[in-house]
Amino acid sequence: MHAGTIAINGLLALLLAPLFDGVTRKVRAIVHSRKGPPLTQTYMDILKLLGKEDLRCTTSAIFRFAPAAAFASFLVVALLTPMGAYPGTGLNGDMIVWIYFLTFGAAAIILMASASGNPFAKMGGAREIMLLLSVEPIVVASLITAAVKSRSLLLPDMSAHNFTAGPSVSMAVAGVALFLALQATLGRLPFDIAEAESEVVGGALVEQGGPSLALLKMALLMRQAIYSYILVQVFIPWPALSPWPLMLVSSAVKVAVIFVLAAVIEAVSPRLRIDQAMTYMSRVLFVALAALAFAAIGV
Amino acid sequence: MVGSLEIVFVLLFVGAIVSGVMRSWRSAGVTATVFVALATVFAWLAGWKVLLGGGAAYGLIFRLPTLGSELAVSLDPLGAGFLLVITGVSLAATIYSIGYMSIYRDKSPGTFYALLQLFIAGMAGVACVADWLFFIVLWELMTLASYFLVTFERDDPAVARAGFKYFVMTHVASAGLLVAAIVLWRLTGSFAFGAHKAGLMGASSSIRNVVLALYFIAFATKAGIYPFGDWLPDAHPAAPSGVSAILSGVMIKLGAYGVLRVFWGLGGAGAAGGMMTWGIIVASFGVLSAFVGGLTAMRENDAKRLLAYSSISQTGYIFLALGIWITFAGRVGLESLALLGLLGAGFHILNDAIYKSLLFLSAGSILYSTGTRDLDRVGGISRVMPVAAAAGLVGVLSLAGLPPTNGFASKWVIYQASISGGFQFSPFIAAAVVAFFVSLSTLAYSMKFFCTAFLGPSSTEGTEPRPIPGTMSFAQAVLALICLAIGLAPLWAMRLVSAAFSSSLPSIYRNGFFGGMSTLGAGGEAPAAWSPIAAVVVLLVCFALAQIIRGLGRSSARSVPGWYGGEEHAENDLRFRARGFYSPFNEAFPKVYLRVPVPRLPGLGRLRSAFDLDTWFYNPLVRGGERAVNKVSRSHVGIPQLYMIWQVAGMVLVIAILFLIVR
Repeated sequence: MHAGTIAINGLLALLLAPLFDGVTRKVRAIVHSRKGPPLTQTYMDILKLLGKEDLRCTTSAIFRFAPAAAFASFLVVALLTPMGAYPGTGLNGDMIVWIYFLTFGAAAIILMASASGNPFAKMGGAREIMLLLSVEPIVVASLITAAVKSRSLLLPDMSAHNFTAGPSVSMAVAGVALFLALQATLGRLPFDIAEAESEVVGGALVEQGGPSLALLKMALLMRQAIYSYILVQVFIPWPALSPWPLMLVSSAVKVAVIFVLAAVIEAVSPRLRIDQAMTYMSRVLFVALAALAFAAIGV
Repeated sequence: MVGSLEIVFVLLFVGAIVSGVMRSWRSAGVTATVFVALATVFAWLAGWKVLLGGGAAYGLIFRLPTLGSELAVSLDPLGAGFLLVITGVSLAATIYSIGYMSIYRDKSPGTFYALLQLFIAGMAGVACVADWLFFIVLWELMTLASYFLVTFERDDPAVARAGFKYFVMTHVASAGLLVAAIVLWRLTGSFAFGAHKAGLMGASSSIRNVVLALYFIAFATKAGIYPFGDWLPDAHPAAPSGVSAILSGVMIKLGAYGVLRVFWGLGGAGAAGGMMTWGIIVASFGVLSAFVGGLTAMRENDAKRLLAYSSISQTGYIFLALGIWITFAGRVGLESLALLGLLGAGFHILNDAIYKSLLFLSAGSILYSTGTRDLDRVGGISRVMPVAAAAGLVGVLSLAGLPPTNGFASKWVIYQASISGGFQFSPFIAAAVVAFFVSLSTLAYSMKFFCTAFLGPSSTEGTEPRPIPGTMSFAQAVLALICLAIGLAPLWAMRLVSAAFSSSLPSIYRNGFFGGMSTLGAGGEAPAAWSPIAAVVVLLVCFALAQIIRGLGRSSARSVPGWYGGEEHAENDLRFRARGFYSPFNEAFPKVYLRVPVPRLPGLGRLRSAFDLDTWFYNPLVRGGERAVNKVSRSHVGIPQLYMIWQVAGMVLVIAILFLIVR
């Protein structure tokens, strides 16, 4: 436990997540030959939503408190994620805890969708789970590769291992697998199947409005930032910079670069059907398993 | 001297007799609950003493010197741990049954509660003996009593078939148990656990492997491990829900208990290589079972069948952990890995017992409230049972292994064991990846179970859902609270688990932050940390922050109807049914659980009647008596002259006899 790191991680997640989304929107607009909104547009969107009316289609307590629960659990995950602040993460950044708090947030959203009673929302929730089922094995296999290399389940140890041992084949392959799955972990085209505005009108979020929607948007943006930070910090943390504030800046820049890449892919991709997504992910899973096999033989 | 353990069994047998003669569901239920509660108190007194004191309780009942066998209540820490879980869960299920069983108006309450208490006595007995002969006797008592409970709704042919399958499969497996015990008896001349252990260690490797195989198949069958436990998905849904809770919560865990007993201490110097192979076999069946059970549960639309498959899946996790333990047990330098596997298995046995029984009670509440277990046809019942719905939510979160519930804590240990085990033997890493995947499928089917039945608009098909009695809610609420308590203070629960294994917890787990756990990585295991109280405090702070952010804009809330694309629909058209959940995913995976079909045997009903005193003894006796009386009554035609003739004839007969005697 380190209070300073907790504060830094929390602030980074809350403040940078909308900025990264702004970068995405700008890049997408450039690819589309549009001018696009300013980088700060997402902040303004969220602030505006906070002041709007909160519409409730049901009296269910789950429906009412799930947005805050999803927000809270992704914020906890952010505190567990190494973001470049010293030392590593604020809470003890255990990989299994990290994965399960992410799942906890997803479960909150799915429960909320079902409590709303809206069939679009339920369908979005079911899609969210199916996407998780096809993506999460890749994330897990990549992280276990790092665990095997660093002989530790703690995320800061995995991150630090790169500096002591240098790059390795297995970590590189695992990083590639995680990058190939990134578009889905970010919930972006071609894998924005769970929200799919033109099919299920926003999926789980369809009945949400005003401040609830603002919280959910923030939660999903933080989740995008978290996944990108894990890719950057565990698989490509070089160069080692000191003092640590420099590390903080360099990893934020790297995450921004990842968001730019993701935005370009998003801008040129059509949406896949869920079964196509599963086929794609099962192929990427082989890459991740290859990384595990490399790690098992020690390269 | 009569110890409190003997009293447990006396209470259960007396309770079986007393409630067996009762005629009303309510009085029989309350009586049975009183007896089971008293038995639980005595069992816990004895169990805690053994568990915390580290000693053993022993009370001889009688000996069979010629066989080298003895019946004694003998409790060691491992048995004590299981005894606590068995009696605790059974008590909750019995309390639940008071209200629940009222749906079986036309059935005999006496029979049900007598069988229930015999069943509990059988399970408790299995944990309390140290002799294989009587272990098998009590194992059979447990199996037989549970068979009758499974076939309680015997008028339903599907239930009769399920019962038949259960009966045949478990008895074939138990026969193997008997053969194994007799082989070791020939070698050692005794049935005592200790003697058999020594005999197994001293036997040639081929005999040892055959005996171990027989034991493993028998216990895997009971535990529901795929493909041996094919009886489970039929039998568990067929039983009344309180019984399903005990079946899934504790009875199938006794399969794991058997594996623990058999493999305990076998990983010695001489046998280590062979044991590693056995460890890998046990772990492989565990992983296979977890995977197959998890994927099959996702496609199931029947609440109780879904949970039955999830039991197969969760028992798979337990066997994976047991396999890791067996693989590394007794190997120098890897004691910590073995201990991690052992603790993971024990902890998951405890946790699965609690949340799985809770969920079967939840499924029972669905059935009680709506009259169906078809998830396609129910919905929104949290309105009529808020407490039970909250308990059910805790149950599904535990089943899915989400923090901060107990299900997460034990899965955390199992992942840690299997990843750390993978450092030594790489295939365990693959097991960890599969375990993670299965855990997500667990989330998928537990969400399907909870979301379709409890959330959303209430079903308008069939009858209006009705509220459940307080006893049912009470039993579920208590189990849910235990789930949360263990989840928040896992290290304290782990202390009890390690006490059951007489192992040293501090060698692995350091006291983490506020009752949390963390490993140091000194003995070959990976460093890891889980501090639930710290995490929950941070989570609550973040939650409060979120609520503050939400309030910043001072926006007003308004109730509105749901939005369905601007059209008006009937409520039933809007339901997203259970069968629609995950259909693309289920289509991508072929049916992975291959079932053994049960032929439609015409004489199936007779099997049960073979054991049923009513059918072949009392009823024929009563019918025979009735027939005899009817024949006599034919002579009573009501005509006075005829009676006079009888009288005269009788008199002549008497006089004739008198003449004969006097002459």
